[in-house]
Amino acid sequence: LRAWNGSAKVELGKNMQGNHSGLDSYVSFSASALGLAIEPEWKTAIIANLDAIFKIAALLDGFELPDDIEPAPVFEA
Amino acid sequence: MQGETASAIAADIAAGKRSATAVIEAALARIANLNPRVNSFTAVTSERAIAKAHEIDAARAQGKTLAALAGVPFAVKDLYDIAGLTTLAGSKINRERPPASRDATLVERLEAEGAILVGALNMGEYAYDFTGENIHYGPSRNPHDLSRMTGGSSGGSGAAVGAGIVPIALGSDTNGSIRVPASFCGVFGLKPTYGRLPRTRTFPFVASLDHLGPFARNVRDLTLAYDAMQGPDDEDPVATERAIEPALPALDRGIETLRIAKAGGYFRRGASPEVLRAFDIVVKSLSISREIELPEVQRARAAAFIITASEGAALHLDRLRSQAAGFDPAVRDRLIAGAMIPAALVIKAQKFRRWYQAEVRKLFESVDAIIAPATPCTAPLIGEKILNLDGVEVPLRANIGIYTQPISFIGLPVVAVPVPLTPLPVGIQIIAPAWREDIALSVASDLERRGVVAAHLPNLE
Repeated sequence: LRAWNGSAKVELGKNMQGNHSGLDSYVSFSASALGLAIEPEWKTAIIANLDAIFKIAALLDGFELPDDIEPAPVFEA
Repeated sequence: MQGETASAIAADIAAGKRSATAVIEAALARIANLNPRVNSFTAVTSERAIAKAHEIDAARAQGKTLAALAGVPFAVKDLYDIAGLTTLAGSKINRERPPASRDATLVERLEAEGAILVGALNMGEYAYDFTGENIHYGPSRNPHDLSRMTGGSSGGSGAAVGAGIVPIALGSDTNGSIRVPASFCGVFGLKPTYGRLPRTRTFPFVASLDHLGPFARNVRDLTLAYDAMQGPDDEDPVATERAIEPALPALDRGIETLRIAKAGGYFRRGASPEVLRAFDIVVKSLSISREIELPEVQRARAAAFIITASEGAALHLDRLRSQAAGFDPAVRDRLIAGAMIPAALVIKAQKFRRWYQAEVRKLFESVDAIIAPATPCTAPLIGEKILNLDGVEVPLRANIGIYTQPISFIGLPVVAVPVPLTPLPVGIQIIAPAWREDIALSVASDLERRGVVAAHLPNLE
């Protein structure tokens, strides 16, 4: 698991270096899987947003949480 | 009268010095006069408001005791249902929806206390916004400088109260959307504990993080509105079952026994000189010496960002499929990107939320309240895209909420208090443990009594 985590971080890290080529095809595939029709002129902004999300996600992904911690989808403050 | 408090209005009406009808007619006249400048209203409910005012005047004539907010005009962000109107949530797409059949629970509760709804307020499209700008309805404008942002997404709420059009407005706060406009518009805002106020019949954004709350021009009005809206509601699955815990009775109990700390580290980085000045004024005034660091705040913000993008996208997925061209393009592109976030990252964000909540709870074992800035800057100019944080240029829209987002992430109650700097006010957050709105309101009240914080009325003539 630790090793898998490590490689995931490497993948996320690639986006941090501004490598958009993978994101371009990721966005195209995801759009088709989700049934979203994306106009060509929207793509640059969508990729930029997703790139920002993956950068932010890398920060979160770099934090180790115990296996037994519960998610908080129904949250009592 | 422009800028009057709810308490003063209700006292006058109860004493027979003015009629509710006269008060509502004056409020409607202020909307007609001031709204073209601040663009805070998207609908005015004149007929309904006048009818309610007549009812209150008739009740008083019959010798009935009036409720605490009898005759007080208020308005709500245009994501609260208003019977007979379509709830737009700042969008063009929602115009196709049928009119709401019943008012939102919080509108019903304020009206049950005698307050009178006078209209719906401008907001960022679908609440995915920190600026108060809106491409369909135009930006709400900051009453202290009409060329500047109100902040968002409850921009119309901040502007309407900041301009003194209404004494009370309601907004919503997912990542800062009450606290940011309260800061920029120089008014008081309360984001209660997550689950405290039911969200029934409001248009959602991010179910995990959506909160509702009031804006006002003083702490007493803020508390009156908050108390009037408390209570369980079966129709909102996250609404608390706790009994009503009124904050008004203890508002002026004094804060000598409270242990108050200032947030350091993350919460100072990126703050403009004006914000640091306002923060220092509040810190000195409360004689705070203890500084604490919230753990992993940056990751908390990251997790809130991911949950927001993902849940927001899930909410709008069908509309993105069928009506994508009807969105504000900037909102659309953020939502489409959000739809593509791998589920594992979203679940990790929700797990991190649990961890962070437990860590922050530990901090509250030794402090009763934490003071932090509300925004990194005073109100930027409308249309500005770049924010300078500590000499680094960053996208403005995403970064206005850096200080608010890690707090709402775990649902802590916060009062945003306005430090009346010139030329522009700025807000400070008073953060309390979960379910202790009364603490944050007491600290706000103490600061207000000593003149440290106040909602100054701008000259809009």
